[in-house]
Amino acid sequence: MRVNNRKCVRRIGVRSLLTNKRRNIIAIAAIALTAILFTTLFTIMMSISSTYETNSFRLLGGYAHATFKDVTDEDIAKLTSHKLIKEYGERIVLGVSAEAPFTKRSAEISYMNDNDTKWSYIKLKEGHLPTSGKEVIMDTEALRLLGVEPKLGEEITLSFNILGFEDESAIVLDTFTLVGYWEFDQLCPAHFINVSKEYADEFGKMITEKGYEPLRANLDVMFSSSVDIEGKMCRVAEESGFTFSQPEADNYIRFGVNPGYTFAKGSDMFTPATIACILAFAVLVIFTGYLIIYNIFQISVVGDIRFYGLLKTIGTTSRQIKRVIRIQALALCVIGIPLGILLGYGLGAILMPVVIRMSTMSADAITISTSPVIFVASALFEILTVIVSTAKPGRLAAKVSPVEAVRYTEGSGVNGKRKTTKGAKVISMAIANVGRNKKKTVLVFISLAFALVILNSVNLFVGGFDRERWIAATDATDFLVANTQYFKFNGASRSSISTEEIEAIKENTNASLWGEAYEVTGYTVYKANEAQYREYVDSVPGGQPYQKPQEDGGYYLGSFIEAINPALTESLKVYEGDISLLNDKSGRYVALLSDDESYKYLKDDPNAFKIGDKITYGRPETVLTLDKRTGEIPGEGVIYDDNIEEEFIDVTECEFTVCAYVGVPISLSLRKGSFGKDGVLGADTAKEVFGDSVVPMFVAFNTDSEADEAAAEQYLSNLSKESAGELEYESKEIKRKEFEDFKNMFAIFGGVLVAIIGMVGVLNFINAIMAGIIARKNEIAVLQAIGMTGKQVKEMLVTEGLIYTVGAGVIALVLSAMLTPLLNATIENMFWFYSGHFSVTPVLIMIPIFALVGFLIPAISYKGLTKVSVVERIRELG
Amino acid sequence: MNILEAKGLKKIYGEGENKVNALRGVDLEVKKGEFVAIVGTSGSGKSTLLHMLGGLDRPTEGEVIIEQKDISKLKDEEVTIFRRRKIGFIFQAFNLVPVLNVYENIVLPIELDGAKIDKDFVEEIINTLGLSGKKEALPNQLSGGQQQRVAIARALAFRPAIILADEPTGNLDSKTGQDVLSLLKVSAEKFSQTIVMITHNDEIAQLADRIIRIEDGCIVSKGEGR
Amino acid sequence: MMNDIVLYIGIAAAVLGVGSFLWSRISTKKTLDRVEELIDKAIDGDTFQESFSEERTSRLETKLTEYLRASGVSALNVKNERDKIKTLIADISHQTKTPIANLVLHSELLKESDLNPEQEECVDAVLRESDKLRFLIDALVKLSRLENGILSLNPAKESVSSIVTEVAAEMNSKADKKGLYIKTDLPDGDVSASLDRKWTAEALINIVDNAVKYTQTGGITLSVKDYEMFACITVKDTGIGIAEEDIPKIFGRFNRLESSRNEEGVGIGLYLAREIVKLEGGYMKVSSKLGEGSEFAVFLKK
Repeated sequence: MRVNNRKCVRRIGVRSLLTNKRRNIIAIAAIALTAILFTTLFTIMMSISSTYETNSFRLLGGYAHATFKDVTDEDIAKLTSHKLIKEYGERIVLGVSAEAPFTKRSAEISYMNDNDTKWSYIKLKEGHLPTSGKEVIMDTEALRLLGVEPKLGEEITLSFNILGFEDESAIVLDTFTLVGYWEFDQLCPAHFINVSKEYADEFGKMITEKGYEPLRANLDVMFSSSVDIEGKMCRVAEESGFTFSQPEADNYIRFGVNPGYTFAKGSDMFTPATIACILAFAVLVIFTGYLIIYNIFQISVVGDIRFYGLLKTIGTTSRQIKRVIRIQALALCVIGIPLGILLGYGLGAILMPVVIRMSTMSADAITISTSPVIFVASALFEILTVIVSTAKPGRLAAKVSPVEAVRYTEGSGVNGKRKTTKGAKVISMAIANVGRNKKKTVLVFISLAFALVILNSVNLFVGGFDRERWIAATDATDFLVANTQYFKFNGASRSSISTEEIEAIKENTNASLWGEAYEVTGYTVYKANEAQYREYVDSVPGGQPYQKPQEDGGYYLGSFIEAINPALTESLKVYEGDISLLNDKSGRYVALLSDDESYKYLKDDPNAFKIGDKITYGRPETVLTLDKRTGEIPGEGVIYDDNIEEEFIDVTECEFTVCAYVGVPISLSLRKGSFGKDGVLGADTAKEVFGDSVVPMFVAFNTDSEADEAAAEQYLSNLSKESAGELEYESKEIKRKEFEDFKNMFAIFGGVLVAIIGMVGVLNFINAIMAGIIARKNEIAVLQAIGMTGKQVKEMLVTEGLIYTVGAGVIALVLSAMLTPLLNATIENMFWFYSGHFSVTPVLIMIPIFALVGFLIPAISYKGLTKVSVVERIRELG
Repeated sequence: MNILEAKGLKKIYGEGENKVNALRGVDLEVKKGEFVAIVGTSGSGKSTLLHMLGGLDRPTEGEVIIEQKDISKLKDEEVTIFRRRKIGFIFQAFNLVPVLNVYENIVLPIELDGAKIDKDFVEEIINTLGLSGKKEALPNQLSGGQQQRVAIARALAFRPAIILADEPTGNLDSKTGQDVLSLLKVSAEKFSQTIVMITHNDEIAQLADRIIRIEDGCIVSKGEGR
Repeated sequence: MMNDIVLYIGIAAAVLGVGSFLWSRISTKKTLDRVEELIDKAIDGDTFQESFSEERTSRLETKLTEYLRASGVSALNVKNERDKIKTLIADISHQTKTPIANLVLHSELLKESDLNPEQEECVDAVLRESDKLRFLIDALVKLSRLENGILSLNPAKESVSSIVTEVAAEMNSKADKKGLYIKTDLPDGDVSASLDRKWTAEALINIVDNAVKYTQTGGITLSVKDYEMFACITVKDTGIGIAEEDIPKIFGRFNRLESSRNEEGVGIGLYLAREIVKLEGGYMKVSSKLGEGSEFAVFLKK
């Protein structure tokens, strides 16, 4: 039980704080700056996370926690009465329109209740939800595609297929009245066209009359939190009298959890690499903060050492003195941290768009997170930095000998002897003064030099972005034109580029190399032997549907085939074999796909095809799938493991000879792949074997002259705009712009970082100079009384300033030069498009600027000093 | 009964060539209630002696015993707290904590100990020293003499075993100094304090009940008798 | 289900742990506060309620009360002793008055009759010693009364200058007899201090008397100095001075120095003076050099 002297110590701490305004202002600035850095980091981190989340939901079409599928009104009543369910939404899908104009993105005609509408990101710009009859609402893009003005009351005719039925007889045509619309979201996977409940019910009645299955509803639910959605769904299902594990049972119910909520996404984002980066950045910020905050307190403690000595004499223990310092530090934090957090949050919000451009997310989906984690983490890190920084100064004050209080020497003890007898010239005095408080000097040097080194490193990094290298590696050709779908990495079947379009492009551009690539569409398989089949099944995660072996003991596994014209064969990377055979009409040759990594293991794989082997590709008429458990077609959402059986009907086979193993540059590939044996065929061979299934995928061409390139760029740009979003292209020009953006992002980041660290360094310098002058006020007065002119005093102070700044500049120069090779090597490893080079230009530029600062600050501070007369300053000595 | 005893105090600074024998074996006894002056020229070791007596520094050899407790062997934290409770200091200058007002300065040792302040007693001291109107003033608003009076008040307020004064009037003009010394003397009487005062001035030393002379690190006269 | 139970038990255990820790700290603090309160009361001399319970604090209270009572008993004893002394002093004072008065009276009468030089010397000696005796008894009685708090001083704001003038006047004749002067050096304007007129005068007389005794040539100067919080009366003589090692001794009771063996005086005058000044809240100091005279300073609070 200790004596209660907290109030007393606190009073001393707070009051002693108020005496030194300059120190307080600079300390608050330093704390705020480091807090800004922390907050910006966390704001961006958390905002990336929240943006990612929102993006995912928008890509999925909604943010409801989970959905019970295919439920009746009875089911709904049972389920929604469960206490866990906070809110629910109902959706009844009537049909889908995937024909024109909804070829690119299909339209879904459904009824959604209020909640469901909300959760599907539908926010009406004008109008109201459909409540009766043939009222309808849809998005602005759908309206545009239908050629309808976004005006309430417009009549719209829609034709769509009854859900699940592709045939002609299931097409419905009807006319609706627009009662509301909303702004289309680019990320939304489909166009929602919502009708009234009345219409849906009538529709349901109508189709049952026609003999179709009755409409089923989906029940979207929201719980009170997104924790353990799956567990909650299971409970709700079971406790409402359903089972989710036995599909054959009567009370079987299916549900799906919104993938956007799974934690998998969390682990995607926070890979060990990103965590390491975040920690490295945090350490950098702590280091920066340490340099200045430590110095501020070190200087002020040394200046107040007599005060602490006096406290010790009166009976203040070391522990109490440390507490005094800590209280001062924390009091300054109270002002500095909120300030820094506020500014840092703003800065983080401003920088977010820059960051988002680096990812695959769209820039208009940015949500700036308001998670308390940002503020709490920033505050904690900042407090940690401050406590660490003030620990040593606190100890210095605490271990002061009480005899210090009775000593009357000004300035910290100058130990040792001055070795020269050359007399007191201004310069040697300046040097000696700088050497007085060694810790302070070292810290200012480090602080300034650090800022310069970071500046140089950022400049080195950004300057080393080799644009041509990047373009050369990612692009095999100058231009590539294809249907928009091709660029979206969509696995689903997609539209091709038409022959007319290809002709048009060929005519309007002066191409030197003209390449055409095709895709063999539809389901292609190759025949695998037992061993290859087993190997495949074992390697596919999640299992593989069961397959009965064919008569010859072979199994069918899915594959993709790309076909290219002779011009493009040059672009292939040959691992082994002879690719010229692809264009050899005498036989049917195929080149199998591989890549740098896989090819290494290929040689030892006994199941791999060898050059010269025969491989059989086939095209099945149909593939029947059966859920062995139910004896029926597997329903939606069922996992295709070995409970599912596949049966290949009427497979047309064709044999090819493997002529080579090749690698296709990503930009020229199908941009999708299977786990099977994907292959490349010559265009003619492919057309011969697979006929109409061979569909043009893209054209890729080079231009020789800059003029041609510019012309082609212009033409393609217009073409893309006029094609109503059907055609898109990649070009070197576009790549260049992307690269520049990418580079600029780092430049902006780096710039902000350097600016802040630079500010910290300069602040440290200013504090050191001003504190030094104030501490030696009397000494300087005495010097002037003895006969040192004001000009000489100024000379001395300016020399000290220059020693700091130019000295730091030189140190930075040397360090940067030494670091450059190391940095180059490290960055080259991480970023392949970086070309190491040598540059210390930024430091060289900054040295004269630093010199200017080193001159101005002491000069200005000195002016402030001379406002008080020499006599007055001496009088204070006593 | 001796409230303060020093036995064989030696203090050596520095090493080798720079070795300084500040104290060469000093013995000292002070009875409760005495007012003792230690006189010596500068460099005689009187300040060093005071530092030893007050536990501000450790002797190289010897013991310092206050109220039967040998403080020369205590750890830093212990000696600090001993000082807080048992030793009052009055220095030539820079006695007061600049950020606390007069009252707060006076009761500081008491508050550092978390103890209850005897308000009547403190009030009496403040009156005795003529500081009644200045309780809320800050040190920089006081004259030199007033500052020293506050220092005296602080040294009295927590009733230490002994008060050590180091040239308390060294920074004051003779008139103010006389007042300050007089107050010191009468307060010591009134509140039954033991005082050990250092000075180089014989006239000031005459205030004391007993004058001890120190020269070159040794006591040359103990001024016995009363 | 199981998990929930374990969780609840864990939480309950944690709460209990923290709770009991806090509880014990609070109760310790309460105990120590109570003990400190007791001791504070004892120091102030207040009475405090004794509680009787199994608490340790209760036992402490009882012990403390016992101890104080014992001291109280001794306080009572001290008072009794004091009263006895009072009575003794009163008796001495009262009873010796008459015999001494008679001594003096008869000695003076004797002197008036015809005596030869030898006889006259004897009578003078008797008169001198009777004077000394009377002075001694007076001083001792006053001292005892002062020391034992039987008589008290009544300090009031008085003019220092006027007292000095009075005393100078009173001692003038005595000084004159030895051929010494008594000067006064007073500042302009009045200087006052907080003092008891009668007693302060008495102290001052003792000092001046002492100065006269030990000065052969020259004289005595009385001056008054004004300080911010004190007034100082100095009595400077051109006498034989005092050796440094003797200075602490001169205020001693019945102390007579080697150098002054030959003089009159009983060695109690200065002691009495100092006690009076002390009781007035002031102090005395002396500075002197052997053969160069002495300066006595009396500081009085304003």
